[in-house]
Amino acid sequence: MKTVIAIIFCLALGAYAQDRLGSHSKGLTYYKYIIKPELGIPGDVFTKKYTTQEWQALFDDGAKGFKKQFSNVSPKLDAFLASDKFKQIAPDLRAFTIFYAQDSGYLAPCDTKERF
Amino acid sequence: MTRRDILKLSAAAAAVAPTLSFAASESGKRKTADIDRSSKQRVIVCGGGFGGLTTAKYIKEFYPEAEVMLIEKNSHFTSCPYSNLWLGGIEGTSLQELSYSYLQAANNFGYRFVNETVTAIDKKAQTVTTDGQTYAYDRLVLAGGIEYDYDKLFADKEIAKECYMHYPPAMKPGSEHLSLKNKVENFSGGNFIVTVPAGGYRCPPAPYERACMIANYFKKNGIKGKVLLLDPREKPGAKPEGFLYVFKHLYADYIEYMPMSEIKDIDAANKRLTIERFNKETYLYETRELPMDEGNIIPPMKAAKLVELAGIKRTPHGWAQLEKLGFASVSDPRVYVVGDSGGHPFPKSGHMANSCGYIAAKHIAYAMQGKAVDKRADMPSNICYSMVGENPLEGISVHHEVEVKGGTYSVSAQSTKRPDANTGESIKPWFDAIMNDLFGPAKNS
Repeated sequence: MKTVIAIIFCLALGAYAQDRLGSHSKGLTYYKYIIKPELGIPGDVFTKKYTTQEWQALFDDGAKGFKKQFSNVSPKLDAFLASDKFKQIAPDLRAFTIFYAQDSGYLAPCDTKERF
Repeated sequence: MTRRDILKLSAAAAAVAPTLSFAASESGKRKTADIDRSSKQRVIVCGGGFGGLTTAKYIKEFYPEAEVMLIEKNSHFTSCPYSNLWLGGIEGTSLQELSYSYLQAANNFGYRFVNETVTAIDKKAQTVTTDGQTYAYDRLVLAGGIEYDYDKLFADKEIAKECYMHYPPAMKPGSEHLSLKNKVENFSGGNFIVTVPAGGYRCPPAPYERACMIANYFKKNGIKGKVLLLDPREKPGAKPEGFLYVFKHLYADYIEYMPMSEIKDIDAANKRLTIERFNKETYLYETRELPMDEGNIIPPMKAAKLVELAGIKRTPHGWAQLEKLGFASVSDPRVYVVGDSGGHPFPKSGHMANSCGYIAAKHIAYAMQGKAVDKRADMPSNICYSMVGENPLEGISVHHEVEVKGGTYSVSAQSTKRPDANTGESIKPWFDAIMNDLFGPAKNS
């Protein structure tokens, strides 16, 4: 029963997520718990891979470019990228990558050091 | 170098700063005339916080011939640093202790204080217009601090307004602090919610220290209340080990730290806050409603309105975009930004603004005199104390050092892991020293 409630709840949350711009702090958490274990790259290094414009392009058209770029890393990540859950959190991941992009002047905290 | 050494260094800066004396040059070139325009080169400093006061003072020290004018909308200065101690009812603290006279500073350091509100800035004409008149400048310093950015929190402006009215952030000096103080003193029990903003914001340890000080007040006065501290981060954004230790060991019954929590909605009339909190089992944010008997909602922040008025370039995060090493705007080399409005990777603190103000003053004074300045020669530093307990007085601290790596600033931080009495007792002398640097001695007129 708890699982059913959780699924319904998650779907509702997903609907909400689609019509907003995303939260960079949520994106950071999602990256840390879902994507980092598969990619093995710390968030501060990951976000600096691309500029703001490049991240924007990767998340355009249903994050087509992002999926292509990070597929074939692991079966688990591939399954996640194809899931509804990815669709739900894509706006947050987009906000996270843009907030800490190569040209943003910000460094993602991601465990390693104290930030301010 | 110990923390005390750094504090002493900061306090002694006034004494050791070289006093330069040069004849005024390039004067009279301004085409725009205004009342009281003298033949001297003029610097206008907009904003009388830690950064603005320091810059105004030290431009006069480095270049006594310059005419320095400080424009500030408030008639008296009220300090944000140290105010959490007053909020928490630490014995011996008072509102008077936080209040200083701008005239005292202006008289002590030889600049002019103008109590007006800036309404327009024309970079081309090099003028600042206030609700009083228009002033011409040779160099302009924007030191307006921060602006709340409620748009990042609520799509509905009415909700944002309601949130501000009911739960003022108290991250700007003045009446917001009085309102929060009343809330703490009149609290009869229940949930007192304090929120930490996402992104860069003024005084990173402030919300955590504030939670400790409110909890201290509850503990001391036998109030059955709990501070719910909502943080979008996974751990405190400043002094994480120290604060987590304090929450667990000093205030286990009074503070509930809620990491990875974001505000979703607020219902001020019914005193309810809707939040989203990350669930480590489902890997999703889940919505939850919290009863909010009282609150201190601190929204995200951006550069002060002065930056917008000046029309200078901002970073994607809303701060003024500055030259790589230094404080001049990338949009105009005659416009400088000091303090929390700046887009440098420095912590936005009073001490850092003081440190940067000193260096910016040197850069400005040298540029006005046509002297070369080595921008790698002086790097700012920061020391930040947080009071966490009263009986005994205990504090934690962080020290930031800045160096240049690969042509840009690199900042390192070292913080204390446990509260101690030595740090607790250093807070008042630190505050007195920095106030003395900004205002000089009080004199009877």
